[in-house]
Amino acid sequence: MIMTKDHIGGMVFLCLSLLYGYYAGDIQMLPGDEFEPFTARTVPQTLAILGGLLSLALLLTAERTESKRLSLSNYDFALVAKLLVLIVVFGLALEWTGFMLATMFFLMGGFWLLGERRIKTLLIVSVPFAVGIWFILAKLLDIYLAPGQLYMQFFGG
Amino acid sequence: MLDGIFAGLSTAVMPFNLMMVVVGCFAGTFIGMLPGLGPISAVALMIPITYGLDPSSGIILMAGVYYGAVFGGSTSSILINAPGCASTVVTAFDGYPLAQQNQAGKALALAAYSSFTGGTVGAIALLFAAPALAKVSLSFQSTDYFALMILGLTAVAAFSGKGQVIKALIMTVFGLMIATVGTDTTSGATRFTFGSIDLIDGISFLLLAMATFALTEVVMTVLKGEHREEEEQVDMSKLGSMKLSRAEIKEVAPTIARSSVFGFLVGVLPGAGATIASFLAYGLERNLASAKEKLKFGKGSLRGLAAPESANNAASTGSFVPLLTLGIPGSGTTAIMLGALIAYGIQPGPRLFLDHPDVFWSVIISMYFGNLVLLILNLPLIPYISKLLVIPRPILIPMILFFSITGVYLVSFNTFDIQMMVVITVIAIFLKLLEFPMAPMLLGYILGGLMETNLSRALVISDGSLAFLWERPLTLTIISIAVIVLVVPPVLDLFRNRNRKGPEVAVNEGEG
Amino acid sequence: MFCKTVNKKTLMAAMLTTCLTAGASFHVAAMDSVHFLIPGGAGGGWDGTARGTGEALSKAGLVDSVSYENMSGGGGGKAIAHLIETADQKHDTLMVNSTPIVIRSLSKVFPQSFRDLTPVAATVGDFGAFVVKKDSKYNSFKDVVAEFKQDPRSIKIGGGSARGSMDHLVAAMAFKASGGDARQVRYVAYDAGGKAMAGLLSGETSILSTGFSEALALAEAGEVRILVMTGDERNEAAPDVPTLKELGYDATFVNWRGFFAAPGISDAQKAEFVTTLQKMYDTEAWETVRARNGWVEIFKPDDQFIAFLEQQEKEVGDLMRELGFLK
Repeated sequence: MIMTKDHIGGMVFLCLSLLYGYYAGDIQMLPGDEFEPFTARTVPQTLAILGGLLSLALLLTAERTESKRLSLSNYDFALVAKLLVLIVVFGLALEWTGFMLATMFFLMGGFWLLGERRIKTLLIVSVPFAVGIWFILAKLLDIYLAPGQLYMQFFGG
Repeated sequence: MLDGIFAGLSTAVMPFNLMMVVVGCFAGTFIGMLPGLGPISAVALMIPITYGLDPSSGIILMAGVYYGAVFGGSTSSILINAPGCASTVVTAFDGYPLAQQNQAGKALALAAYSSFTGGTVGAIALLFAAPALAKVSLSFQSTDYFALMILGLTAVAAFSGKGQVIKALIMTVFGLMIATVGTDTTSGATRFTFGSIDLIDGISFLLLAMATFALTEVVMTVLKGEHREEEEQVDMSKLGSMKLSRAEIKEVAPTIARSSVFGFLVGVLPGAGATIASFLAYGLERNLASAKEKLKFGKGSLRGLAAPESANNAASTGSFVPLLTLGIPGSGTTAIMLGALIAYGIQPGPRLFLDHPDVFWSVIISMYFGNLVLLILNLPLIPYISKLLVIPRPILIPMILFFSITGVYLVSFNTFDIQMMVVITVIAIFLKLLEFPMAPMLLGYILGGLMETNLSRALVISDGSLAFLWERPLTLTIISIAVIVLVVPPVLDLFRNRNRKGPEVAVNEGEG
Repeated sequence: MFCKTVNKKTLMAAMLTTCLTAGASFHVAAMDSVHFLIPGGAGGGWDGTARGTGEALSKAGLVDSVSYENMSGGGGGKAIAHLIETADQKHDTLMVNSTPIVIRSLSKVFPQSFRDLTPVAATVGDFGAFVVKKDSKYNSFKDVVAEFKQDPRSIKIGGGSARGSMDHLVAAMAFKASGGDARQVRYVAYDAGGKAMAGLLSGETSILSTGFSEALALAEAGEVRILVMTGDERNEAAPDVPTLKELGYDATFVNWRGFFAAPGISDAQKAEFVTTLQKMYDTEAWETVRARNGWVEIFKPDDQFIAFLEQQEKEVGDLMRELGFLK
């Protein structure tokens, strides 16, 4: 038995369709809906069935050839994970330190992770960029960017 | 009517109004290129400024900003795969691969020409046929929209390579599933929100597109370690070159013409809009292409770039038909413009071109100028803009990430959206590793919501009977076209393959 | 005249303050700053109300600096939660809202209600209205009611929001007041007002339930007629449109728009907001903004506002229970 990409994909979507169909039963019905031909559940339930059938079709038609196996070597998952964590942190930093600082931090972190280690370059690119974007948005276009909550706590609201 | 046109022409060529066109297009392009600021925000930003102007100048400025923003959005679609607004998502499908093949200048130039033609065809059609078209657009009922969405879904075939049909279908269903998250627009019931307040409004199309295209694409290059490879020596003159060969022009000219007309017609419908138009035009073009050309779609086909670009611009213009002649906004952007017009004391509607002929005609004529200005303004910039791509990857990649994330954040100002993008990106990477195509998911998402609401409306109106599917001639016609599009090409292929290779291939066909 | 002098004085005061004591607070006639929190995106109804009010306040010199923050999500719930969470930093914040805050907290879209905030004042309002195509067979709302009583299914009422939200509730309210069964109302939901209008003109719905000011604009365009509106008395903008009450149906409805401050602000702060808003009505700057948007003034400050909200909550809640949207 060879598990190919198509088999994994089929299995995943089969599970997803089942789960989706299960939760579709939780959708609140409106009063009198039981007599209606079309409710908030109609489309989700149809989709669950359709998804299930298609996943089965994929499972049954998938060829079992060695070349279609999923191979995860040669991929730099660690670096990607770090980048994604950086994005999450950026989202949190937006709330706490405000737009400008968060942007600087994010860009420097990103450059650093991707191999740019010269501190000067990091600063020269990220600081003017962050300040520039902030200036265009906040000053030129008058879009309100919330100051960070840390800042608000130190200096009052 | 001729008097009106001349009155409008003389208003439109007033130096101040011409200046407004230029300023509007320039500001719009600039704002549109910024992350997260699409046509809606660009036009909304202009409102306070326009209050100081007289009505014609104000609307001319807003219209200029509108086109500019749509155009600016396609630039970031092509260069970094990060669509600036929903209607330029399809532009990325073939525009970005072209840029990857060091043809950024050519892609941007083609986008500019296509936009120009689309917008111009739209403006001319608006000039001559607006009142008549308004009547036609009003004959569209929910059942017809439902049929139109079915026709749109047949474009899934356009997004699937050979042997990928089932996977493309699964991804379409996945997109339809994602579209059901949030508040159901018909019943008001919340679905699949799992008690989270952030999911009540659903997952926005822009978020989905940014996460599955821009973010995932960039992250995949990191995953494969491509960011470490020595930068290949790029021929700068080629990168910035805007030259299209004679053969290429011949190839795309019919596409641009077709898509412009088609896009305009879709834009005229108040329930469709520019995003739907770009998807439908792309699907149409793929369906019309020969078997060999079909394979190029999604890998940098010039036709695949020209079709959505012409269509979305023509549709943007088309959406002015219901706005100006009936006072019905077909899109978020035109809804804002309607508000501005009313604030001026001008009520768009059938009487607009009797009561305020100068406003009506000068707006239409300045649309034509606007398109011309955009072309003149942007062509000289292309060689410079496209050279952005030679920025070293360790610098460029975080920038693209930043633009994609803030592009979504600056619409909702909700940091939950950023975490949501990360989750979707992880899922998308996984699916990409399993070789699932992403575009059908977006198609399913964008058409799915509309399909459901229109079907449910149609059923409420008909008291639960499905008879409208064959009793309404318009619905029946559209459904028939959908069936033809689905059935005819495989049957033709079947015949061709039989003649060439014999029965063995036919077995494979049967599976699809 | 008076406004202009105030304007100059404030300007000078502001300039002096900046020169002498940068950043120190200085109360003469104006508030230092008001920060508007808008629970929806740019270009929507809430956005327009907040920015219009802010424009009037700053042009009239009643507030020195105004800022606007858009925060969409959760049907407005995101902004409410945010205001409550960061309440102690938000003394100068006013959140704009309208009738949906009552409806959505009843239907538990978000767990909070207006009680978790400090209601400041309702400032403008709009009535509900019913609209038909200009060549419709209905000449009065009474014709519609008569037909509804014979065959409720034959009348399809369109509206630009989901079932169970405002347009639907107003329609249900009207038919209930006319002696019909509110549950029998066949409501066709569209996702935007413009699309609901297109549906009416295409002939798939026979009546449209919408806001009065929107209906006025549409009627002016000449494609539709307004049958009836839900105000207490006729409105001067369209004196021939009768009210439901006049026709003998005892129902009124007003969709208010107003402002809320963060929970726990002091009474003095609340009073300052209220007086500032009250002063605004007499200024030219406000009149410009109001006329431009066609707003109807309904000033209900503080306690009046709370009482009004409680009453609306009860009326709407009863109706939603009757329709089955609430258990």
